Amino acid sequence: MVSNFFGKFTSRIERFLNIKTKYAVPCYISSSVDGECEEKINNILDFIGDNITLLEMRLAGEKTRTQHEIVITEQDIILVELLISDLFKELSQKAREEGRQVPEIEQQFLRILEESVVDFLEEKFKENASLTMKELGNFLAKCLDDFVNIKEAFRIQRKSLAQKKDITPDSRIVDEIKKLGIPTKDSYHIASAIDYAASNDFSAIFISVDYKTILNFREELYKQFKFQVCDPVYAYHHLKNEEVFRDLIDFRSLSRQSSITDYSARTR
Amino acid sequence: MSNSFISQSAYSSALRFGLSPIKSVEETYVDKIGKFKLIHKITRLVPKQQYSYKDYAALFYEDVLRNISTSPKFQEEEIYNFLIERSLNVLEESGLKDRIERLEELQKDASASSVEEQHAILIDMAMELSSIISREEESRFYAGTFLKSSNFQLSYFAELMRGSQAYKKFLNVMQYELRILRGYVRASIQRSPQAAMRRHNERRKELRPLVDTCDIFRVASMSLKTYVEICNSERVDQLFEPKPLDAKKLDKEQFQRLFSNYISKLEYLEDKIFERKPEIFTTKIDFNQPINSMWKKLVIATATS
Repeated sequence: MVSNFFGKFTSRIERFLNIKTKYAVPCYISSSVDGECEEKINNILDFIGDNITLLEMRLAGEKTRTQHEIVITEQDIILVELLISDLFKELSQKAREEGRQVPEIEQQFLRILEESVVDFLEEKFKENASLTMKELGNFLAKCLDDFVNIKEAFRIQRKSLAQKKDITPDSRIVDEIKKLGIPTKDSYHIASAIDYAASNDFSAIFISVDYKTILNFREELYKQFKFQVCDPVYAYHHLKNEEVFRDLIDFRSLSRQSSITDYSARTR
Repeated sequence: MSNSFISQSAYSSALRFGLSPIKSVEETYVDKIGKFKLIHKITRLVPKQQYSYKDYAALFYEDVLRNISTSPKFQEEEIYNFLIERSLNVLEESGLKDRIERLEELQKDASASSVEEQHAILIDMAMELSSIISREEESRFYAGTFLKSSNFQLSYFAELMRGSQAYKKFLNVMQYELRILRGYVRASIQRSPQAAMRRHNERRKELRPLVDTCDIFRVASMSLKTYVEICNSERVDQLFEPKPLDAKKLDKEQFQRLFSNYISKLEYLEDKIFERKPEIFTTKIDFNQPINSMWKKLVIATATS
């Protein structure tokens, strides 16, 4: 849903939406999925907030310490470069101290934020030769303003795509899904769908574009729960031909077993 | 804006006071204590007719403080008296007092001309309230408050701004509806009094759920903000005065409960406004704009990670 809103996987989702409209397929979003979307977007905003706070504080500190000034000029973009470079180093240092690898995603965030800050300041310098220290605050205000707008538009799009359902899935189902190797959050999302479908006695399909943690487990999920997960591209076919999917999975399981037996016999 | 926060709140209360009589409202919220869930249900029974602005303000702040567990810092009564006093002072300072008194007088008279005048006063109030602060000023205020604060997350201020925007949308709907209502009243004065007043009363009744929803949201919003203020003030008279805020001074559980309550009431209000006037919501984002483009890149980076 988030991907679609921001223009990623659009063609896949569009394809599904056409089917949804044509056959009036009811779509639902669980409270857990909705909450995760919200959390992801909020985390990005918090990341921006924290880094701009550090940048603003340090920029003011450096300016008053070295130049006794509280205005910034175009030359200070070099100082911004050094300060952001410190933020990169701190990210790596923090990760090392915690015994983990430097998170690629945070580095990527910082790179994107850096580019945006520099663009913003450059635009401002076109209008004024010197800027006040408030300018980074103005940048943050713009980020906040656009965030509120984006969130509003996102919520409206979500509402038009799917109806939100508050579901607390059976923890035993969540645990069983986790045993397949699916991460906790995704297990919770899938269990919510399984639970909702079972308690309302209808057939449901869980749609995702996440191959790594969801779609790659489609066969195991079907074998264990008789529950289909698929990419939006295949949603129509799964809705129409569940029995084909079931037979194929049964067949593939059998042939895998026999090929394992063959392999064992050959290697014995 | 912090100073004018009480002004805005007094303005909102004044508008609410004029919009419709109050009725019983039931609220439910859940407290989690370890494995146990404590479900609180509050039913507020409030007068339906012939109540003054002061009665309304008293009920509003009672509800606000009822949502907050007793603060060990200040006496609840002290906070209550301070908020009521400030709210009434604002009425004098802003020149709202005369209009409130006029509304109080007009509410005793059910004639079409009295109703028309009430609508005119309410339309003015709604317009003034909408223009107290522009969206740009508001985003600067919240970004500035965040930069001066400690240990808060920016998303908290984003939600406060979202709430404020939702309230502006509510005002937009109210202005629109009040103009329609005024039209019915004018028609009743000029042409068919009974039919027009019937339409007026029906439409006004239809507005009722939205007004109540907004009322519940305002209580949740004020409770959250008052709680943060209480924790960050040394004396009661420092409430809503400009000061740096520190999230470490809050009780995490209490804050989370008030914040979750605020979010759920906000979403409900947004849904109600959307049902009435969907065209005032943002649906399209121009991702070619620099900051929007940054947002797009950031979110896509998360989605593909």
